[in-house]
Parts: sequence; structure tokens; C-alpha cells
Amino acid sequence: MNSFDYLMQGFASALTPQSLMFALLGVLLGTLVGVLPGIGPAMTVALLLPITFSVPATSAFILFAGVFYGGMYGGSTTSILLNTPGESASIITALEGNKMAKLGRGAQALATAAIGSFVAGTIGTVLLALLAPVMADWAVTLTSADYFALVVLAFCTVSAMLGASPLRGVASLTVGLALGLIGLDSVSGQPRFTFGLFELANGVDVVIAAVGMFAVGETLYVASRMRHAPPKLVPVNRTWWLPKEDLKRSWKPWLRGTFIGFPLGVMPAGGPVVTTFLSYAVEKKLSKHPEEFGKGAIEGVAGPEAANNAAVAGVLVPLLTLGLPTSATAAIMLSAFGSYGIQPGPLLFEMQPELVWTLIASLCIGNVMLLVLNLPLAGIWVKVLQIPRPYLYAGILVCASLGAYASSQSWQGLLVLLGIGMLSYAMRRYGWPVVPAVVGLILGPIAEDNLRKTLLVSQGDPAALVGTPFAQAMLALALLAITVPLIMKTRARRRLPGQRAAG
Amino acid sequence: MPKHFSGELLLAVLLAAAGGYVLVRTPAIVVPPSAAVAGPRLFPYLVGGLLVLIAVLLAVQVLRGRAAPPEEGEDVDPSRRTDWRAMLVVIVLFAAHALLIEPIGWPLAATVLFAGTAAALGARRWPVILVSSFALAIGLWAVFVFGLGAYLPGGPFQMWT
Repeated sequence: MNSFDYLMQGFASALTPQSLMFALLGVLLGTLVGVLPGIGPAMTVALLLPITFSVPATSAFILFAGVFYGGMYGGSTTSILLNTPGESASIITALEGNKMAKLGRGAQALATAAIGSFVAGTIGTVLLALLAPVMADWAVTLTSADYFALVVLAFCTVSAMLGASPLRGVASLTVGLALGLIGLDSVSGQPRFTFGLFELANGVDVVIAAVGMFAVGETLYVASRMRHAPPKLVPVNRTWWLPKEDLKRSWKPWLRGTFIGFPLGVMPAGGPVVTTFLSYAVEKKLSKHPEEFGKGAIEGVAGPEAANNAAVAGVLVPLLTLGLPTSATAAIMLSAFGSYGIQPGPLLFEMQPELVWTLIASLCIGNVMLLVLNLPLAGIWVKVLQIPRPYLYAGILVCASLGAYASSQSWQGLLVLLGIGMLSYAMRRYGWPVVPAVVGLILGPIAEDNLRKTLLVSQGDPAALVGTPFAQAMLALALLAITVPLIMKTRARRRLPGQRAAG
Repeated sequence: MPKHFSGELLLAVLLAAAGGYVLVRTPAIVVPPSAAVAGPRLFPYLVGGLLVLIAVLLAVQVLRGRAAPPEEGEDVDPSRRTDWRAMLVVIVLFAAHALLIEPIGWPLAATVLFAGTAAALGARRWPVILVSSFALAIGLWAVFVFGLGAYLPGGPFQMWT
């Protein structure tokens, strides 16, 4: 059977009532958390992990992927109507989208975001279906040195590209790496840095770390300096489709955003966030109306929104074929694979073809659902935004306790959760991005495994780490990811002498 | 010298302390003879060294007065002074919630957490707070226990399961 036959089979099982229900639930939940501040797709997938005990793997992953896609759609709604992104991947959308809404073109902004997301998500899913099997075949030939180089690249990109200060990104990464050391050594089986506590033998649970970093940390941060003015919503009229003029200006940015977003999602380059910045810069350069940028240019909504959805499809490629997560949400999905005893990686397409192809087919269906849901339901999502903040954050804390207790089954786990939340508060207070910490915790052990395997084979010769052309290329890219922002910063500082910038 | 003392120094100290701990404890890890090359000590040494290095670089930056802007968020007002009281109340509530789960069950412990947090963050209408916290807690508990088959201590509601 070739990929096409598999895909058709995937559609057959994705169209069963059960799969459709999970896809619908996933995209609804995803859009909801995308709209809500303080809670995002990574946290939601973490909360939903207990379902892995009671439903089959395929259904669980349909749900998770729906949440991931839905989150990207939902984030754009808040960006446009409130000027406050519900998701970090939607920060750029707020720049132009909110200006459009203030000019009375909110409906068009929502429509170009939704249709662009649909176009990009669909093309991205098709590319995923075409590329993933090829990549899986190729991934079999990768050595542990190659994997190590890939992880190093992921470390460099997430810490250097997110946040205002690369040094603080690296600091956050080391926090995650240190937490990742705790637990049994995977080779010799002895406990490391467990403080003699039995509970820490299995390491810091990914769910606890992610929920603590995202949900508890965010709630404490909001509690410490809450904005008491009610959110300013821009009223919006309803629309079903884009007027011809806007469609003409949107379709090229959609396609460009897709082809920026997908490859960068595949590369370990910091997930969807970075792609939106790039797409915005490209649209600004290419636009025939550069004077409109900053005042509500539709291209500035269409491009980045397409890019972040395409990136989500891209992120699934290394997750499925290499077992390598490149975003926080993907990292938590990886731990869900673990609880089914499934090892994502090159062999996944041979061992679990039904799971993979049903998932891919469900993504296509989920995209259609999102398009249909989002345009007419924008009004409902706006209502959701009006939940009073004290109740919203109280609810987020309760959900955090729920997810952490369900996964750790102990009150001690909740105290660890609180400790990580307090750490995350301090990090946010001083402008440290928290995503690198989560990525470091999850990828740290993978890095250690591959580093040791490489050195074991080479009998301790570190030259083996740069022994393959692929590893060399990845490490060169990693070096670029670190140096380019530094050079740009130094140049900016020289241009503005006397101004204090974080380095 | 910095004009104001920055609490970020404490974070740098914490990072250095973690690095120091890792470096001091690593020699205690037994290296099995089979793993003489690239054993279980290698990676901890690397991470410990990196922690200390970053902590030093960070401390230098902070002392020179270079800070990054605090994280932005839609419900965050960066210009406000830190409200230590609200934050402390939320921390104490969460710790109390953790300790209460086993004695009184998750639904009631979650009711306490929700009501307390909402009040600490500025909700004032107690009837609304109490009703919504209990409804949410019992609803979530039911969905997770009956719908997803997760285990959450029920306390007085355990008999329903």
C-alpha cells in the first residue's frame, strides 16, 4: 500500500462518529483556550492527559491535535478584538488586526485570519502527509550525533529567539536542564539529584512542570499586578466571507505565510511564534501599501495567521518522525505517546500506520470544522472574553490542580507544582521567557542520551559529535541562531547610544 | 553600581546555587565500569558548569543595570507596584488546597481554592462566588472521575463513585 491508500483509510476511520466527536471537541476546546488569556494549548493538552487511560490512542491524538490547531484560531480573535493576544503566536496579529477593528474592519480581519488559517492548515496538513513518510525513511539513517545536534539547535533557537534578552532565554533553558537532571539515570539506573526522595525517582513530571510554568506562574503574575480596568472590546459586525478587494490582498500573504510557517515549524526553530514575526516582516517588505502597516494593513493579519497554522502542521513532522518536539505543546503530546507505550520516531509509520493516517485525516477535517465554526461563532467567543478576571484565574488554578493531581496522584505533586509556579512568577517578573525552561526539561534527557551514545561509540572522542555532514549543518545553524540576534542587538545599540538595552 | 537593588540578583544567586549543588553532588554518582566513557557524570557536569556560567554573566548584567522588560500580558498592568498581599494569599491558598485534598476530598478543597482566589483577586459578591466555586468543583470532579476514569479523592462524595 502506498501513502495515498493509507490516507484514504485514514479518512475512513476519521469519519467515524467517534473520531468526528473527538475532533469537534478538540477544536472547540482549542478555540476556547486560544481565546482565553492565561491558558493555552500546551496547558490544555496537559490537563487532558488523563484521558490517555480511558480512550484509544487514535482518539486521544485527534483530540490533542484539534486543541493545537484550535488554539491558533482562537488566539487571533482576542488579538483582533482586544489588542491582547490570547496566545504568544498571535502577538503579531494584534499589531494590524486591532487597528483594523478600530477602523470598523474587524469582521474582515477576523475573516482573513480564519480563512488564512484554513488555507495554511490544509496545505500544511497535505505537506505533512507528503513529507512525513519520506522523512521517516530518511530518519532511520540518522545517528545519535545527528539527534544531539538537532536538540542543540532546538535549544539555541528557543532560547535566543524568544523574549527580549537572549541571555535570559538561556538562563531559562538551564533552569529546565537542571530540573531534567532529577531522576533515575537512564543508562545505569541509579538516582541522581533526588534529594533522597522516593517521589523524585521518576524525575519532575512534565505535566507538573508545564502546568506550573504556564498556569500557576501566570496566575501568580496576574495576581501580583492585575489590570483592574475592564477589557476594551471593539464591537464587530458579522461576516461570512471576505469582500473581493480584501480577498485580492489576502491570498498571496496566505500562501507566503504557509510556505514560511511550514518549513520553520519542521525545523526546531522555536515553534509557531518565530514564524509569525518573519511573515510579518516579509509582508511589510512586499506590500504595495507599506504606508498602511501599523494602521491596519490586512496583509499583516493574513500572513502571520497563515504562518502560525502552517507551523503547527510543520511541528508535527519532527514529532511523529523523529520523536523530537519543537514546541511546548508537542512536548506534552510526546509524553502522551509515552503513556500508550508508543515510541514516536522513524518506525512509527510502519508500526502504527492507522494511528498516523487517521490523525492526519482528522487534521484536515478539524480544519474544515474550525472554518465553519469560527466565522459565525466569533460573537460567542467575544462573550467568553467577558468572564470576570477573578473567576477566570480562580478557574485556571483549579484546573491546574486537577491536571497535576490526576497525573501525580499525590498532594506532594501539588506542592512541587506550586514551587515551579513561584519560580515561573519570578522569571516572568524579570522578563525571562518560560518556554525554554519547559523545552529544556523535556529535551534535556534526550540530549544526554544521544550525547552519551555518540561518545560511547566513538570511545570518548568528542570529534564524533561533528562527524556527519547533517550534524555539522545543524550545529552551524545553531551557532547562527545564537550569533545573529547578538550582532543585531549590538548594531542597534551602537545606533542608539546611551539607550539601555538588555543584551 | 545599580541605582536600585534588583531582585533579579536573587534569581542569579539561585541559578548559581543550583549549579554549585549539581557540581558538588555529581562526584557522588557511581560510575559503573561498563560506562567508563561518557558515564552518568558527564551531562550533570556540563549542566552544572553552564548554570554557574550563566549565573555569573547574568549577575554582571544586572549589576550594570541592564534589565529586560517584565513579561506583558493582557491582564497585567506592568506599571503597577507588586501586590504582595494578593500573591501571598493565592500561594497560601494553593498550599492549603494541596494539604486538604486527602482529608476533605478534591471537590471541597477545590471549592476553597476557587472561592479564596476569586475573592483575593477582587470578586466581591459572595453568594455568586460560593455557588460558582462549588458548581465548578463538583462538575469538574464528576467529568474527570466518571467521564475520564481519573482518580480524585471524593471526600464526602466518594460514596457516589
